[in-house]
Amino acid sequence: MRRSRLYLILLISFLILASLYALYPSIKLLSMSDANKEELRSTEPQDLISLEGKAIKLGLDLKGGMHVVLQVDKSKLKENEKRDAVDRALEIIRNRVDQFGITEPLIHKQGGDRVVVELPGLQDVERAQALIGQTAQLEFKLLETPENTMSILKKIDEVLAQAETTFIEDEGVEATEEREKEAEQDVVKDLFAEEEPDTTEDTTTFLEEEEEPFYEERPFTQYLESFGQRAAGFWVLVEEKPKVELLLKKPEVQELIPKDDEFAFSTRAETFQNQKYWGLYLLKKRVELSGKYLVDARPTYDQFRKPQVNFTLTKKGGRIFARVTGANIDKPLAITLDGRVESAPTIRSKIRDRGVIEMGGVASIEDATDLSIVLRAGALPAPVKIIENRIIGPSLGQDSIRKGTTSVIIGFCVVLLFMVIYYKLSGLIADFAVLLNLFFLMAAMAALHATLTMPGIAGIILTVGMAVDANVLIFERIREEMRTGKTIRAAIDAGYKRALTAIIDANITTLITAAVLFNLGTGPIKGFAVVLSLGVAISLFTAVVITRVIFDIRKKYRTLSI
Amino acid sequence: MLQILKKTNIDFIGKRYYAFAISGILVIFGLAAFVAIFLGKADLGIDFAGGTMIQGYFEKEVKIGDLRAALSRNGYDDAFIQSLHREKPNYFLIRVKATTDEEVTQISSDILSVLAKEFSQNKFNMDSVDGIGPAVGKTLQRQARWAVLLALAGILLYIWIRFDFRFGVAATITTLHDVLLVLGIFFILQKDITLLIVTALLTLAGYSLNDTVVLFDRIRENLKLFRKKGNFPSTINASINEVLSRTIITSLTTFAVVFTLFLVGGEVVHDFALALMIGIVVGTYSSVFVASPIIMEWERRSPKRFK
Repeated sequence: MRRSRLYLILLISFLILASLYALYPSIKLLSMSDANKEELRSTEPQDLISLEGKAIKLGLDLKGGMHVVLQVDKSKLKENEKRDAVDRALEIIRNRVDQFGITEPLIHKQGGDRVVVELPGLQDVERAQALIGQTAQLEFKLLETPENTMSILKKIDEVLAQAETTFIEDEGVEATEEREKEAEQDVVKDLFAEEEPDTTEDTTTFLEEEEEPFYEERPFTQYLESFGQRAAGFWVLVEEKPKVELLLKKPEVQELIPKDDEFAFSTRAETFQNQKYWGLYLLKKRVELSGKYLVDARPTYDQFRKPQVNFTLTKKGGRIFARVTGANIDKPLAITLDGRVESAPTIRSKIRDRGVIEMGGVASIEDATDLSIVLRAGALPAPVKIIENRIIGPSLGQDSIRKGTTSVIIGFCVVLLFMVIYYKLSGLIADFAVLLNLFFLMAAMAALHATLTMPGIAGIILTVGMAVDANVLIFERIREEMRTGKTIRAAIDAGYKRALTAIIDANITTLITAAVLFNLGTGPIKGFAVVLSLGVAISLFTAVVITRVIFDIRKKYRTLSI
Repeated sequence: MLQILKKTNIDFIGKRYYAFAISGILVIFGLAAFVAIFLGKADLGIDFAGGTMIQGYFEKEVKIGDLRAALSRNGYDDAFIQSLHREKPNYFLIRVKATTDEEVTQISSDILSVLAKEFSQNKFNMDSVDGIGPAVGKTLQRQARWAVLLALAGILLYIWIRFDFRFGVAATITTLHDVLLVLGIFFILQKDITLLIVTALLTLAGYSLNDTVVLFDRIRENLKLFRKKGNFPSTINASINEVLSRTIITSLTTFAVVFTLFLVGGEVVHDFALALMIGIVVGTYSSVFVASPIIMEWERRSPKRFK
């Protein structure tokens, strides 16, 4: 008996020391001012990182940051590509995030087709979203010739104009007549199809028309503006882009676009004379060269201090590029990213393995940096979409920490005070146990690299409330036993012994629910489950074992302060 | 010694019919809430329903009506707007239900630009954005349903092993009763059912069980002692009276800390703390007035002497 008590005291002392050791980094970090931290970051960054790694981690809801869940769209992949698509996507996203330079990003798989990305302390949310969420499929495509483009545009105008009048006449007209009109329309289409070879004439008429504003006859091209005679592409006012997109989606317009051509907008809008415009291009669908031949990409400035990206191709890529550019000198070549045109410069001479992506007027050096990052990290194996997006501002996190800490302190004081008033000296012993409980709990959190969240703080408070329960059970039992006339020593022994089964049963039921909660969903809730289960398990030790050891220090009791 | 209660001898079992009536009515509300959730009629938080929630504050005064009108003008006439002036002046919560996964990031940035445009002289500082696609909501709903079922099954199993089948059933019914009751009260108060509320419900399932288990433990102990006297209701009554002061003290300390959380913990955990507060009261009541009478009635209808 005596010896086992000695062992227990040794064990408790050891646990206290171990906890101090586990908590030391957190305490040190907490006592450092922001300026001190910055200093350490610049002088000994490794030290700070290892210190932060050993301290209690704060969840995104306390630290602020961004939590994004991406869904990998595997529907268009082949069977053998589907298997590791998510893993590859995860690796590529990790690469991009690492290069973006965010400390302690958390990236992991969720379920069969989701990737969770947590970026703490992030400021530029939209930039990060774009960086993570884009497929980054780089492709080089030739443009449709200006002549063919003009002819297709003209046909679109005519068919749309026809459709408009048809639509007006159609109102209240019998179905049979409608069918006749449709037949007429087909004839019109056929007529134009025959005219197709004669493109030059078409272009001139079109250009002539452009000078006279017959808007009603140009339902499509009225939205397009062309700068310069043979400029690659057109400009669409930002406000009018939705209308253009709607028109392009119409089936009758789709029919007019040749099978190996496609319309594509630019990546970003440009500003001309205080108006913002999107670029619109008619591209050949054929991919001349893709981003998989890229070995490096770096952001730089051109001679006008405009950002651009220099890229280097593999040997094979260089050969293909040389062939393509050599055969198309003086023609524009579109560089597209995820189907949108980054730029469409005119090829001046044969290019081999080194090239430049111009980024246009409004692009910033950050845009160039991000483009280089995604190009270097490579394209995702399949498109992803953001299906969950949570952003927690740093001030909300600070607020939560402050309020959480206040709640813990107040709640703690209330409980401590109550126990001392109600159970006197025994209550003080219980208070000591609760304090130790909290201390061990924090140490365990640090040692297990668990994350503290706002619900986790609520869990601490709840633990404080529940931890005294074991002592209340024991003390009430001791009181009962004393009432039956037992000696104090016997009452203490019986109290501990008889209360034990109830304490264990009650705590195990809490552990069952905590275990279930741990498997439910998101980080904050997991944080709560961890705190609750650790707290309850530790309370078994502090409230039952440690208080008992203290009670047993004295062998004989004449009176008991309870 | 300081005592909240002197030795009591209250006839709890005798009042069981009142308790059954009260519980019955409240459980019906809970069941209504449960059915409403399944039919999608209840106020599910965006965790489960999908949607976008933005929290933040304006630097100068803004009336909630003006904010509503501004959002309405820009196509968000179904936006739910709540003033959180408890937290900070001009602090608002804006919630829009999303319909597709594509809109998850779009709506939040769109609303932020609407606010910047409509209140160009008064900066809106974004505190947090939650955008959750319906697909994620569905996943969480499924997880939450499983979590509740698993927790109840685990409890039934554990009590069954530790006590016996009847105790297990009574404890599970009591736990279900507590969860439904809090759910019912939240339904009446028109509070959103969020993931954090489900967490609170599960936590209080564990907590209320705590009370029930302590009581059952004492009943089991007393049944052994009183075996020869054989008066079942009085054994239960005596057990309740014996553990009553413990039940009340523990409930008080736990209630006190949760109440602190409710008062100063801030908006994030406000409803969570409220659910726990209600749950603690309900859990204490139910262990005395629901769990024990079930055991008692069961024994009366089909006598099977406990060990």
